[in-house]
Amino acid sequence: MRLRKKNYWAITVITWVVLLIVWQLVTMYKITPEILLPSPEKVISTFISLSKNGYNGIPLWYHFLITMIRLLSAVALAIITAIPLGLISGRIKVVYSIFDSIIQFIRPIPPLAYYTLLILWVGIGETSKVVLLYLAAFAPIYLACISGVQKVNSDYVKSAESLGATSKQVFFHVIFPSALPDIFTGIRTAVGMAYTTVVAAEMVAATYGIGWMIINASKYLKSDVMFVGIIILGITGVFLDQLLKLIERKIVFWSGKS
Amino acid sequence: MKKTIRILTLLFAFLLVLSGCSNHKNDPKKVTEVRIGILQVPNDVAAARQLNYLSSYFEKKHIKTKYIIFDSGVDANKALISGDVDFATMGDTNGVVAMSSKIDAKLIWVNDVLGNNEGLVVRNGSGIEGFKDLKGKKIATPFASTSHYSLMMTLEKYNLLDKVSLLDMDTQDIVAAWNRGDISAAYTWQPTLTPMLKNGHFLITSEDLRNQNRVTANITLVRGGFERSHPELVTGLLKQLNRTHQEMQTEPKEIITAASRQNDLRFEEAKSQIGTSKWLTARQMVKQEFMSRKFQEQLYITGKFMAQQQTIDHAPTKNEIRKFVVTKYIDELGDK
Repeated sequence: MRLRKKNYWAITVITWVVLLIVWQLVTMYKITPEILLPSPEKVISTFISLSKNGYNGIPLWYHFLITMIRLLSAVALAIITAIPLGLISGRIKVVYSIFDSIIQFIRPIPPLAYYTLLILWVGIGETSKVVLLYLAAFAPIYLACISGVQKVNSDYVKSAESLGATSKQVFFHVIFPSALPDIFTGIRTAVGMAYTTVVAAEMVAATYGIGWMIINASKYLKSDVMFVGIIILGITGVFLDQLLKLIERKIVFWSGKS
Repeated sequence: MKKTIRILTLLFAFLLVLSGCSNHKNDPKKVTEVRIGILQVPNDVAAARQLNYLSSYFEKKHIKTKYIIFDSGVDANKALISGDVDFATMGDTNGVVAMSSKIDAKLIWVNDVLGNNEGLVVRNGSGIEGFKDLKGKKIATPFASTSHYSLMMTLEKYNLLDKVSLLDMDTQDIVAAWNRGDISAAYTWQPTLTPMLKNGHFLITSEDLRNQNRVTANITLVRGGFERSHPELVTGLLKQLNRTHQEMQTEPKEIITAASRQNDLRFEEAKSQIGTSKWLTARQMVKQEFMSRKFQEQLYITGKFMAQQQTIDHAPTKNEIRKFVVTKYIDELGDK
């Protein structure tokens, strides 16, 4: 059975509508206790009251902003450091041999495993939170850069060189642009990785942030607030990814066309 | 068509999972295992466990005893909701949270009325001499705990509520932050206090607050379903705990030794960690109208304060508290 594009969209929409209806029904007929699954109305009214009165005396937008600042500054830091290092590692074998094994070692460790250590090292302030997110974001960009450089068609490099391009020119005019689509994929993965660690980062000694709000609400068993926080994180995550896709399409418009 | 069926199947599965969440409250007729949520402190449960009071009682009934350690009442509450524990010891503030979020659980026992085993410690040389000096300082405490409540009450009394920065940390994180010098004060409980008192001193303890009629205590909750179907086991368990409370008053050495062994502490350590906390026997509780009146008043004050701080949605009413605190078990024990 073949469906047109429009119909696929309809299926997605219907799925969500059905999910919402099931949610509504389950809570209406009290199949589960309120504490396990608050009703949609309750979640909406909690969202409205949070937007008006804030959580724990701090406005909701401020919680959101703090979380985003932590996330984006970590990603920005990762972009600034991982792209050059990744590109150079892809090009120069010595640099690759120095850094790659270290990064491969750190990459698979779950961030929570070394978070307590980070707190001992850099304290409970903003630094430990940003560093945790940074470590999560670094590896995807670095690895994407390496694979991007290695994938560059060697004919391009050779023809540029035979036309008399210096190695600097080759790097900036041939290698960098060809690796750009991969770099973008890396950045998108990095944002995703950092995003999944954002709640963990706000677990210790935070006093604001959406992740902190969810954890704090769980201590007082306020499942409605937890739902609001989780939904906010979900929507923002989708939105961030779409935004990155859009930027990618603008900057590397040639991607997938060569 | 296939797709629709698949989606429907998925939704059905989702519904099943949801209904599964609520199902395991139905107790089987026969209990084969009793699960007790404990705090890692030298208290009556630790002593009763070490002296095999609990296990030998339940063994006679062919029931296994399983202990589950919680860092604070926060996780114990979650386990009560999901039905993963039958009894849980926690601070009374977590009891108020449980009550306010209408968890199916009852308060049946007061393990100990807190004394100097909880308190506000300030770092020596941080320039904090009195409460006014706390202004602008970083103070850590585990949120939702009795310590948090005691700290907030103290801050309110000295008009400092918005003038300090409060950090929510687990007890182990507090010690780490203290050692690094990230915080200059913390309201917490033993055993965390001991290492901090090496380079710090008390500004106020829960004993002082107790004398100002702000009582905090560790309490035991029982899961509602368990209490309804097996009240005789509740009585049996409390009888064993009461035994440790009686012996604590007649031969404290033995009880403290037992509690210290259970927590891998030296006798002196356990003794100082228990400090001036009070272990009331069932008879004393009945005589002083402790659970039937005094402690209920304290729960009411606590609930009102927490609601005012917006940590819980609504303050439990006196009627709700009366239903939450079940006194028939200690009445039964106290008469004997």
